Amino acid sequence: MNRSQISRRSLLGGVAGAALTTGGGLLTACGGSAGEPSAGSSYSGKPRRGGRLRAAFLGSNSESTSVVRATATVIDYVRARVVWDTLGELEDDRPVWRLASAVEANKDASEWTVRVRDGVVFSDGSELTAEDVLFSLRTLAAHPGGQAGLLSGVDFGKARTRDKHTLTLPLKRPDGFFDLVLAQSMFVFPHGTKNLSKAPGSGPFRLAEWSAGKSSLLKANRNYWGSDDGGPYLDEIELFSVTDPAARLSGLKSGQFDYAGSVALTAARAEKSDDAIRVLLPPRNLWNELSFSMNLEETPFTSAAAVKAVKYAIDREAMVKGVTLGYGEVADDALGKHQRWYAGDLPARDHDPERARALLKKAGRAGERISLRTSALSYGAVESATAFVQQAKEAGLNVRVDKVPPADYYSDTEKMLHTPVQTTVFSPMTLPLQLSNYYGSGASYPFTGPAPERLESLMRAMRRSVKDTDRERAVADVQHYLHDHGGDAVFARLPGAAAATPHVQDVKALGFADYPSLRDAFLSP
Amino acid sequence: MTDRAARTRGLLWLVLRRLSASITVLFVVSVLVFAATSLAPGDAATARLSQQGGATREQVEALRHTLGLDAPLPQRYLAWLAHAVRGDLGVSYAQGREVSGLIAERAVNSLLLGGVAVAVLIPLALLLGIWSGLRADRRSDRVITASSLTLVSIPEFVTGTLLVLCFATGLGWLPAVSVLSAGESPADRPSVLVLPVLTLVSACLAQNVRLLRAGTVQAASSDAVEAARLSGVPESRVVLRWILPAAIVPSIPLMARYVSYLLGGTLVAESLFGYPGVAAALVDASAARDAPVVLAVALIATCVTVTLNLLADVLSAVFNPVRGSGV
Repeated sequence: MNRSQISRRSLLGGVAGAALTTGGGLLTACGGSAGEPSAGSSYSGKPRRGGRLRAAFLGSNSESTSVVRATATVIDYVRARVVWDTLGELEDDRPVWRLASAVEANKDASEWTVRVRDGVVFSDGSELTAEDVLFSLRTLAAHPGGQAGLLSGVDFGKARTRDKHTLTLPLKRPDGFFDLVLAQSMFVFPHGTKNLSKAPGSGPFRLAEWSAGKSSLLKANRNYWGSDDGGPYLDEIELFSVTDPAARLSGLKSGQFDYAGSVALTAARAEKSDDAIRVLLPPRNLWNELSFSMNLEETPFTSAAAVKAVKYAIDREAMVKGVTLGYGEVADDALGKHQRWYAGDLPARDHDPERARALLKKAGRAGERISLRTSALSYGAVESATAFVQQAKEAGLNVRVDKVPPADYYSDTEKMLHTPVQTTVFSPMTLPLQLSNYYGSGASYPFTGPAPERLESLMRAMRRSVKDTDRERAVADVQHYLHDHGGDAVFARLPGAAAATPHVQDVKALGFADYPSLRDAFLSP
Repeated sequence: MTDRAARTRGLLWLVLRRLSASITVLFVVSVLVFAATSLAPGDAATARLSQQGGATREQVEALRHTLGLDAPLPQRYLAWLAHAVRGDLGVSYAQGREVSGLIAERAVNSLLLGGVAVAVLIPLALLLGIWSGLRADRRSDRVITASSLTLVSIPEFVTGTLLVLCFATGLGWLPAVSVLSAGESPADRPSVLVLPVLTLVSACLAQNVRLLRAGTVQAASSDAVEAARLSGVPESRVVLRWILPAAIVPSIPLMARYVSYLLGGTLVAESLFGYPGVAAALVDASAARDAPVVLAVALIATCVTVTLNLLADVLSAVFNPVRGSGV
C-alpha cells in the first residue's frame, strides 16, 4: 500500500469522488417499471437556446472555487465541470478526448503521448498548449486529492513537451490503463496560474458570481471552443447550495429550482406519479453498489470459510426488494456490473443459509458474534446492515450493528482500515481503476486487507496489459479471483436519483450521476 | 440611603456578579468545546483531505504541521485563547480563511431570522396569553389553549414540513427553500424568512402563551385589581397598569430562554429551509473538525445566552423590588 487511507468518502458517494468518473449517459426519466431507465430525453426537438437553469446540489460552508479543490463538495465539482474543460471523459466506459485530441501508449505502456487540441482559448485569452496541460497535471499531482492519487504513477521529473501541442508522460511503472486515468477530470488551466481559485478555464461557462454555501452564477462562454457542436445552449446557470435532499425536492416542486441533484429514493418513488417533475436515474453502469467489506486480516475473516459463509448468508433478493425499494438489482460479489469490463461469466451467488451455517461450523465459528460497522452517509448502508441482522441469524451468525456518525465514519482512518466487517457503498468508477483503488499493494482504500500474492500477480498482469483483448481478460481474471476469494460481499446495486422539471433536457451523468455535467443542458419549450 | 439608591446599587451588584460569572462560563465552554473537537475521531487534516479524495500519509502529516495540529492540545488551546482575547478568532482549518469573515455573514443571517421570530413571538404571545387569561374558561380561551397545546406537541420539523407543503409546494405563495443568490442577504428577499419564522414561532409560542395566561389569571384576581375595578378604573387602564406587569414578570426568564434559543442559531429551521445561518455552519464545521469555527460559533451562542439571561435578571429585578435590592 503506497498511499495512506484517509477516506473513501469521495469514492463512495459521500462528497467528492468527482475525479473518478466512469461511463457516460443521459440521466433519464424513470420509466414504466421501477428503476428501469427509459431511453433518451423527454424532448425530441432541436435544443433551445437561452434561459437560466436553476439547479440545487449538496454544498457546504467549506466550498471553494480552487481548481485543485474542485472535488471537495458536490456543488464545487458540478461547477468545475463547466468552468474548466478536461483532457477527456468517459462515455460508455471508453475515453472521449476533449482538450486532448489523441492519447497513445508506447509498446509496453511505460510512456504515454498526449496530443493537445488546437484552437482552444482560455477565458483569459491565452491559447491552450502542451505546456498548459503539463503544468495542470503537475499542479493537480502536487495537491492532495483524487487526481493526485491517480497521477502518482507519472514520473514528472522526466515528463516533457515535445512541441506546442504534444507532451510525453513517462510512468514509474507500465500502466496499460493510464488512458482511463487521463480521462478522470484532469482539469486544464494556463501555465503559470498563481491564483488557483481564479484559474482561467476553457469550459462552456464562466464563473460570474460566487458565495460559499449559497450559490454561484455561471454565464455562457461565447468563445467556447466546442460551440461548433452546438453548446452552450443556456445563457446562465445558477447553482444553489442546499444540504437537505428534501429541501432540494421541495424547492423544485415550489418552482425555485429546475433541477434537484441527489434526491432520496423514497422521495423518487413517492413522486413517480407527479407529472410536474421527472425523476431521473442514471444508466445501470453508473449505479452504486452495496457491499459488506470483510477484512481478511481480522478475525473471524482470517478464515476463508467464514467469508464465504457471509456471502451465502445474504438474501440478495430481499435486499433489493426491501433496501433498494425495488429500484435496484442483485449483485454477485463483483463490482462493475453492466460495464464493458465486467466479466459476464461470473456465477450468481445463491442465498444458502444452510451452507453458510455448515461453513461456519467447519470454521469453528458457529454462533460467532460480529459487529457490523455502518453509517448513514449514503442511502442503503444502514438499511442493509439492519436487514442483514435477521438474515445472518438464519445462518447462525450473531450480528450487531455498530452505527457511527457519518462525520466519524471516514475521519477515523485507522478504525476504517482495521474493522472486521463494515458496509461499503461503492460509487461507480471504471472497473480497472476501481480494482486498483481497492485491492492490491497499490490500493488507496484496501478495506479487505492487504492482497495475497496471487491477487498481486493478477493485478500486476492487469496493469501490464495494453491491447484491449488482453486488458479485458486481465480484468476478468482479477474479478474471478475476487468473486471466489475476495473479502467484498457485493450484494446489491442501486441508482442515485435526481429530479427535474419536464423542461430540463440533456443533463448528462458522464461518469457520476450525483455530479452531472450541465455542459449540454437546455430548457425545452 | 433612599430605597431608589439601594435598588440601583443592588442592580449594579447583580450585573457585576453575573458579568464575572459569564466570563467563567465562556472560558469553561471554550475548554469543553476545544476538547470535544480534539477528542473526536480523526482531525481537520484527515477530514479536509478526505473531502478532496485522499492523500498520502506524508501529505496528511504536512497539513497537520501547517495547521499546527501536531502541537500538544494545551499548547494549541492556549495559542487560540491568546488570540481570542484580542478578538482574533483564528483561521479556519477547512478553508484557510479568517473565521470572523467566514461566520460574520451567517451570524448576521441567524440574528436576523431570530430577531424577526422574536419580534413576532413576543407581541403575539403577549396578546394571546393576556387575552386568554382575561377570558379564562370562555370559548376564546379554550380555543387558544387547545391551539397552543396542539402546536407545542408537534415537532418543529413536522410544522415546517406542513408549512412547506401548504404554502410553498401547494399554494406556491412562498419559497420552500431559503436560498439566496451570491451577494444577497435575507433582508433583500424577506419572503425567504416567512416560513422559517412561522416554524420557529409555532414551536416557541405555546409555553409563553400558557405562562402569560396563568400570570394574567392570577393578577386579575389580585386584591389590587379588584380594588381598582371597584373604584371604577377603566378596564384598559387596569390591564395596562396592574395586570400586564404582574403577568409579564414570571414569564421573563422563559422568554429570555426562547429568545436566546432563537438568536443563537436554530438548527432545525436552518436545515429544513436551507437557510444560510450559523447553525448550519456549525454542523459543517463539526464534520470538518474545524475547531476554530466550532469554537467561534459556540462562543457566539454562549454570549447571546449569557447576555439575555443577564437582561432577564435585570428586567425581573426592575419589576420585582425584592430581587432588585440584591437580596
